[in-house]
Amino acid sequence: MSEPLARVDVSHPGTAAHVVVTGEIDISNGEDVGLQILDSIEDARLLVIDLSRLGFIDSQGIRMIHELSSSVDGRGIELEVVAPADSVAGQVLRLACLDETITITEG
Amino acid sequence: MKTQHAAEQIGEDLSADGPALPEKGLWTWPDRLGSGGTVALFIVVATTYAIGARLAFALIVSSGLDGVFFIPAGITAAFLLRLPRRHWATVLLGAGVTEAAMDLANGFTFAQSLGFAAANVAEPLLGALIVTSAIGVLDLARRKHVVFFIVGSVLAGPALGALIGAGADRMFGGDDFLATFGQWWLGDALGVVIVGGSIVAWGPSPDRRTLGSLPGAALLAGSAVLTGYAMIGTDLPIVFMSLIGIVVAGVVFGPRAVAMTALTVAVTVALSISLFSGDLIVGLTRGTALLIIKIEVGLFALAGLVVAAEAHERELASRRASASELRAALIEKDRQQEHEIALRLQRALLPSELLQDDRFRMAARYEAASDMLEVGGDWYDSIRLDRGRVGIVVGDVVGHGIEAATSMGRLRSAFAALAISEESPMRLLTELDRFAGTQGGTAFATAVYGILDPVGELRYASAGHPPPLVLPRHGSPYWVDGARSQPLYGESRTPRREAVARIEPDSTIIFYSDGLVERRGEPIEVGLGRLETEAGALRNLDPDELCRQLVTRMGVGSERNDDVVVVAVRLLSLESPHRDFRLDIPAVPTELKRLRDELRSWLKLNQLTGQVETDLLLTVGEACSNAVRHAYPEDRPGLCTVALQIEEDHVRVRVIDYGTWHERAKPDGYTGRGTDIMRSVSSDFSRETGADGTTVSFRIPIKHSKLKR
Repeated sequence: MSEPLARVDVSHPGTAAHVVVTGEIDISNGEDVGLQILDSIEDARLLVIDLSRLGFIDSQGIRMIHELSSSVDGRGIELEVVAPADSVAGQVLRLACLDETITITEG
Repeated sequence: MKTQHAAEQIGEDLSADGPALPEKGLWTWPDRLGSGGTVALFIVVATTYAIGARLAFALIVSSGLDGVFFIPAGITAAFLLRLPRRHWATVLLGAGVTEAAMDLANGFTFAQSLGFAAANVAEPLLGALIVTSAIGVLDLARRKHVVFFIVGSVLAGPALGALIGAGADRMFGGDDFLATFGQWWLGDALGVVIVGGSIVAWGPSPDRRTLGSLPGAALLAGSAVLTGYAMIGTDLPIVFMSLIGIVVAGVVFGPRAVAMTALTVAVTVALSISLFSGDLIVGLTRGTALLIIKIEVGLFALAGLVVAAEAHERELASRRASASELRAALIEKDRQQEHEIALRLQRALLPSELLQDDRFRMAARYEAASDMLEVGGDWYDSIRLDRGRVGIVVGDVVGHGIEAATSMGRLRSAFAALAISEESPMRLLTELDRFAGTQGGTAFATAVYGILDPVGELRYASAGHPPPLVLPRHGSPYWVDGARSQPLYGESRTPRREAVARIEPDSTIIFYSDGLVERRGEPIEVGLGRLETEAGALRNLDPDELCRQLVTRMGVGSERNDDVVVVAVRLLSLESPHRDFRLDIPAVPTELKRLRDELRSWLKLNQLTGQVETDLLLTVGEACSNAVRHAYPEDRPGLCTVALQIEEDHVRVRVIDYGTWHERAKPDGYTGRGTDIMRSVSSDFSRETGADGTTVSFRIPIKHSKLKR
C-alpha cells in the first residue's frame, strides 16, 4: 500500500500523550494503529485519542480501543477518547457501548 | 383380296344377307358364346365381309381404276381388335371362307382362292397379335395405342397379306409381283385406317367426343365438298387441302371425328373417281393421280389419329394435374387453418413480454414449427420474486398441435401459481410434476427452472431439459448442467435435484428448447456445440438481438419440424450510476478499503450521503470483515460479493461468501461485536450458512437511521 490507511499523529503536551488518528480503521490496520498508539504513550499519564476526524472505524477499531483501554488501565494510565456523538467514531463507539467503560468526550 | 382381278368379275352375285347383330351390340359380345353364338358371329363376319367386298368392287368397276380402299380388310381388323382372342378363330374362318368363296365365284383357281383367303386371314391376325400383345384393348385416344395400331394393323398386317396375296397370285398365274404387292398393301392399309379405324374409334374409349355439333357437321360437309371439288372441279393437285380437315378433327374433336372425316374424304374420293372420268391431277394419268391421292389420304388419316391421341392425352394430363392441384390446395388450406389456430393459441398462451428491471434484461423468441402437426408445446415464462429475484422457466410439452398447446397453457398457469411461493426450483418441479399427473392431457414434458438473484446466484433445477448456457462477457461459455432429473410425467415421487451457479455481471444465460439444437440424423452434442459457438459469438449483443440472431445462426429456417424457444437473460453490471451496487472482492483485509471507496462513490451517485452512508459503510464493512475472517482458509482466500439495492425507503444489502466458516479464530467477542453492530443498525438481519457459502442480508433505512439516537 502506497499510502497508509490511517495516520497516527502524536504530541506530548505535559504528561499527556495526545494522539490524533485520521483516515480509516478496519480489519487491515486495526492492530497496527493500536500498536502505534501504544508506542506513542511513552511515560505519559494521560492518553487522549482523538478520533473525531476519523473517516471510518468498524468493530476492529472498537476492539483495538478496547484492548488499548485494558492495556493502559493496567499501567495506571488514564484514557480519554475524543469522539463527538455525531462523528463516525462517536456513533460506532456508542453503538458498541464503549461509552459505558471508556471516557468518551465531545472534544 | 386381289382387287384387280376381282374387278373383272364384279357381276357375280353374292348372298349378302345374314342375321342381324346380336342385341347386346357388337362390342359387348359375351365372353362365352354358345354354339349358336359362334355361328351367329361367323355369319355376321361373313356377311359384313361380303358386303364390304361388294362395295369395294362396285367402286372399282365404276371407276375403271384400282380400288381406293379395301373395306373388308378394315372390317376383319376391327373384329379382331375388339373381340377376345377366343373368338378370333370364328372371325378369321368367316373372313377366310367368304374370301375364298367369292374368289372361286369370281373365277379364280382353287389355289389362287386359297392363297387370297390365307392372305386375308394372316393379315388381320398379325396386326391384331401385335396390337393386343403390346397394349391389350385398343383405345385410339391413347398415343401409344395409336402407334401400335399403325405399326401392327395398318402397316405390318397388310404387308404380310400383300406378300402372301401377291405371291399366290404370281405363283398361280398372276401379274407382276411388286405391282400387286404395292396395290394390295396400300389398299388394305387404307381400308384398315379408314374403315377399321372408324369402327374401332367407336369402341370403349374414354374420349367420347363426336362430330355431333354444328362445327363438326360443317367440318364433315366442308371436307366432302372440298374433296369433291379437288377431284372433279379442278385437276390441280389440291386434294391434300381437303385432308387438312382430318387433322383439324384430330385436334378439336378426337379420334372418332378423325375416323369419320377420313371416311368421308375417302368415300368422296371413291365416288368421285367412279362418277367422273376426267383428269384428276394435271399431267398425271388417273392411275398415278389416284395412287398419290390414296397415299395422301392414308397419311393424313394416320396423322389425324396421332394428333387426336396426343391432344387427348394432354388434356387428360392437364385435367389430372389440375384435379390433384385442387385437392392439394384444399388440403393445404385446411392444414394452414389448423396450423394458424394452433399457432394463435400457442402465441396467446406465451407471455407477451418478459419482465425487466434494473438488474435483468430478458428477451425471448418463439418460432413455431412450419408443419401444423408440430406446432405447440414449447413455452417460457418469467416471474418476479421477492428480494429482487426473478424466476425463469423454459419447457417443452411433448406432443404437438392444439392439444399440446393447451397442455402447455395449463402447465404455465400452474407454474405461475407455484413459483410465487416456492423458493426451491427442485420442489417447484416436483409440484409441477404432481400437477401434470392430475391433468389427463399432459403426458410428458421437460422443463428447466432457475431463480436468479441480483447478485448473480442462479438456483436451478432441470427435468429432462437441455442445459442452459451461460455466456460471460469475458471468458468461455459454460453449461449450467447440474441438477438434472427425469422429465415431468405426472410422477411426483421422482427424485429432483437443484444446484447453484454463479453468474458474473454482464453474463447472459441462454434458456432454450430442444428445437434449437436438434437436427434429424445428428447427435445432440453437435447441436450443443453449435449453440456454444454461435451464442458465444453473439454474447455482447442486446438480449433481444441476441435471440433473433441466434435463431438465424442456428439454422432455424422456414422449414422447421419442431418449435423453437430461446430466452436470453442478462445480468446487468453496475458500473454506471445505478440503483444497484455489486462488487466482488477477494476476501482479504486490504480489499475493504477499495470496497468502501466503491461504495462511497455509488452512494454519492445515488445521493445517499450522511447517515445512511455511515450506516452502510459500517454494516457492509462488518459483514465483509466477517467473511474475511471466517470464510476461507488463510492461504486460500476466496471471493466476497457485496450487493446493494435501493428500495423504497431503504437499501437492501447482501454480502455473500462462497466458503465455509472456518472458525480459524475462535469467537473472541469481536466477531460477535461486528454482528451486533449490524443487527443494531439494520432491519431484517439474517445470516444463512449453507454448504456453499454464507449469505448475510439486511436492510438499512434511508431516512430514519437507527444509529442516530
